[in-house]
Amino acid sequence: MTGEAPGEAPGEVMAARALCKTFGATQALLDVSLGLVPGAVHALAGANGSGKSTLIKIMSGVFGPDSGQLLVDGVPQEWSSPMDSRAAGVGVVHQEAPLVDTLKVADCVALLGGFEGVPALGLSHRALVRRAQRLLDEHEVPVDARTTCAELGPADRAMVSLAVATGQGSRILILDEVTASLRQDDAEQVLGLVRRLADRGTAVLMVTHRIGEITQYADRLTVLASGRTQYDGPSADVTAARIVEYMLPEQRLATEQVVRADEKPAHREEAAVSGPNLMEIRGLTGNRLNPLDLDIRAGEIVGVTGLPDSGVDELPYLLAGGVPPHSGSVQVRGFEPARTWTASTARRQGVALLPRDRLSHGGVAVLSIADNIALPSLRRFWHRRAALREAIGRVVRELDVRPRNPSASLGSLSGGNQQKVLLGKWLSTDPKVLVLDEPTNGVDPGARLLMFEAVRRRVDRGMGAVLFSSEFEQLTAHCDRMVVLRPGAAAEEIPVPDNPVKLARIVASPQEDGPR
Amino acid sequence: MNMEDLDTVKPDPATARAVTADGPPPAERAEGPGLLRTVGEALIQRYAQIVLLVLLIVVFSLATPNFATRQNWTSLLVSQSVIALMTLAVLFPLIVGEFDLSVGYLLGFCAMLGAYLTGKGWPVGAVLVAMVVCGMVAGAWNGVLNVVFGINSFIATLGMGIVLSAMTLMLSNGAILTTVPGLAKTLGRGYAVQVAWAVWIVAIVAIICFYLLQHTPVGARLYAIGGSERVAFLAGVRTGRYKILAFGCAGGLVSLAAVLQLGQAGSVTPSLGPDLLLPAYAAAFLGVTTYRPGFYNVPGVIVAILLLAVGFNGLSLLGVPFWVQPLFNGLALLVAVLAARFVARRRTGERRGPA
Repeated sequence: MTGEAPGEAPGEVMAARALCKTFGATQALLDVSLGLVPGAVHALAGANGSGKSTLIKIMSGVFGPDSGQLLVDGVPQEWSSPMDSRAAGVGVVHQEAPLVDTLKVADCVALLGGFEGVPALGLSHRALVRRAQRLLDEHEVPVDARTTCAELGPADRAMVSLAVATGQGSRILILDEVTASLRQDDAEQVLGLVRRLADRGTAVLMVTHRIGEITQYADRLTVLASGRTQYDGPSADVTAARIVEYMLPEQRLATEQVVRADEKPAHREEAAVSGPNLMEIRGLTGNRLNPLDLDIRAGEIVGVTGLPDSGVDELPYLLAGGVPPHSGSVQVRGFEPARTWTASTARRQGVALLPRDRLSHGGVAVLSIADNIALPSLRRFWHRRAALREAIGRVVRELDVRPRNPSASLGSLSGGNQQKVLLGKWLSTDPKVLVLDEPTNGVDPGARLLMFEAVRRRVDRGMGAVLFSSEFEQLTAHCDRMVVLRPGAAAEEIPVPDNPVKLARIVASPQEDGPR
Repeated sequence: MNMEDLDTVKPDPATARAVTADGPPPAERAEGPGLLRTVGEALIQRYAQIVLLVLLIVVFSLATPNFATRQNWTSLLVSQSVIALMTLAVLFPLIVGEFDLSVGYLLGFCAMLGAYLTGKGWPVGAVLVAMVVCGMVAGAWNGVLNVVFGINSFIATLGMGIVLSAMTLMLSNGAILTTVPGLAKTLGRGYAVQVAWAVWIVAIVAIICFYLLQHTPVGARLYAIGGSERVAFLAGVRTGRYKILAFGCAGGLVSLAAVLQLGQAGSVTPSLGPDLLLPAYAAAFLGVTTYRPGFYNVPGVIVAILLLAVGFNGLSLLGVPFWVQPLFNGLALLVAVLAARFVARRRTGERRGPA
């Protein structure tokens, strides 16, 4: 469904017509069209890599499409930078509302508004505060303009950014996952403001991962998958389950399942007789995480997933001692329960973490492949150069790291090869429990396969693994057990669903019941 | 740990350069035909300063008969011993990604403490132990301020430095002290086996630092912390302790420099020290371009100091005016860093804007 239904609708303030964009060999967008109507909230949904952000970037002037057109008020636009889109009346608000923490709200509002209407000399702070406060009050944002930005809560930050964007005279608002890192109640506050803005005649395009927000707040919906439009129409016409199915088109499932088909059932059988308990987690809590009890046994991969505010982002770090838990205990087989659970304790007791953020948490970019692999095991390799060389050779061979030169710096490798090195680094410490946090972000299918094979080999030899992933097909393909984290509720252990759509429904389901 | 001889393939300087924030260059470089050129350029880049140093020595030896004499070389090396130890000191905080601005003041304080305690009639051994302990404690305290109290090291060490300068004034009461322990005089000016004690000390300390930094787990952890503290922490390194250790090492080395300074000068003025801070940092930065490009390293520092000293010494023997020394030092630093950056950029293929 390309241009026909919404493309010609009258009253459209902004329209995208048959946009195409490729990056190298990747078709990021193929023939995507959508139209924004004043007074309506248009939701844009899709899995990671579906082309959402490419579409948003084109619509906000970051780069142009390869082919296709952008129309504002029916006039074709040729934008070369975000400044152009802003001039045309498009306001963009990003996920981490970019306010300057050290400034007062009033100053930030003036700064982001380009100091428009402010005299170049004789800047009056009182006038700035007055202007900002008027803007905030107008949009019913409960924030005092004299507050320092750092003191704002996440919801207030998002609302101030929204007010600033509309204050610039934007008739079109593009919201890039503004609610993704917010708690449910905060998100509702922000979405309330979005609704009010739309009711006053602003056209809103809202990117979101939360199905509940679409059904509750959006008038229209576009779902993208692999750069193609899967659905475009009124949001009232689809159920939450259908949305999830649109987000996960068949072809992607098929490939991953074919690849895994031969081995998977065998592992599933073995899971029933998995080995001794390696890690006993009791009452573990963090900033968002609700008290969690979990056992990780030898010979199994435990999959964990959940919505963003369920604590699923912090749990990998809690498990590996990267952030201190608020309460609860972690006991590793063969050790007394640790008094304080830190990364160095975790390392000594054999718990390893492959973090999602490769270069800021995973590895040292400026150091060589060899230095990175040696880092957690320096004492073991001290004056045992041959052993180290062999360990590095094993990683390079097993995971097929390119280039094969171990003195190449980690930062010079491609993302997939970096991730292979970092997985190899932890595998060569022979961990008891390996925590994988979104291990295949930006990793190509071939490398994914090698990585999971390597992990599975260790698991078969008695390692325990915990896999955090937002790719449902990955979880259903590789896990022996599944745990779903819920915001504001206890974690739930579920049988591993046989296909990702089922899993997506289970994860998304409580959202439909409304807020808790 | 130095992994560079792990593979038969020579390390590639382009990949060993610091990676800029704008993302890694594409991987999988072709090996084979370009290899010889790579090795050649690696040699040029990594050892350009050594080549330059040899060149300067040859030129000066031919230009003036006074250069290549035993006496000239001894005075040249001895005169650089204090700055060499200071540079090795600042190397440690730099490696973990921090600055120590208090080293200059600390040198003055340690030297003054030595003269003061000698004046009070303390035995020589006790004086030296007191100086070294003071240096290490002050350094470690810098680390504690940084790690435990979370103060930016730039500010913490600046504050500590000013406090130390006050204590120097307090000990001296504003006067020049000439009570120098005998052992310090021996170490500063004496000879052992035909070579000045000061040169022996710098050589031994440099070798120990080199071994510690390049060939032990401690050194590898320090470099990892400098590369990314968070990564090192998640790899199980107790980053706080190692940073305090780095600052403590700096303090200890500064106190050794103070012993030599005390012996060589034979007196201490209350204003001693701060002048040495910037030359020490300049030598450390210059050293980054040699031996292990992109990383603060001991061989690089030693070559840098020799290069600067030989350059100045030769020029002054040729009769250039006194103000040429800082000019030479400043230009050498700028040219070396620019050249290193130019080579690195040319090899990575002129990517993007300002790095």
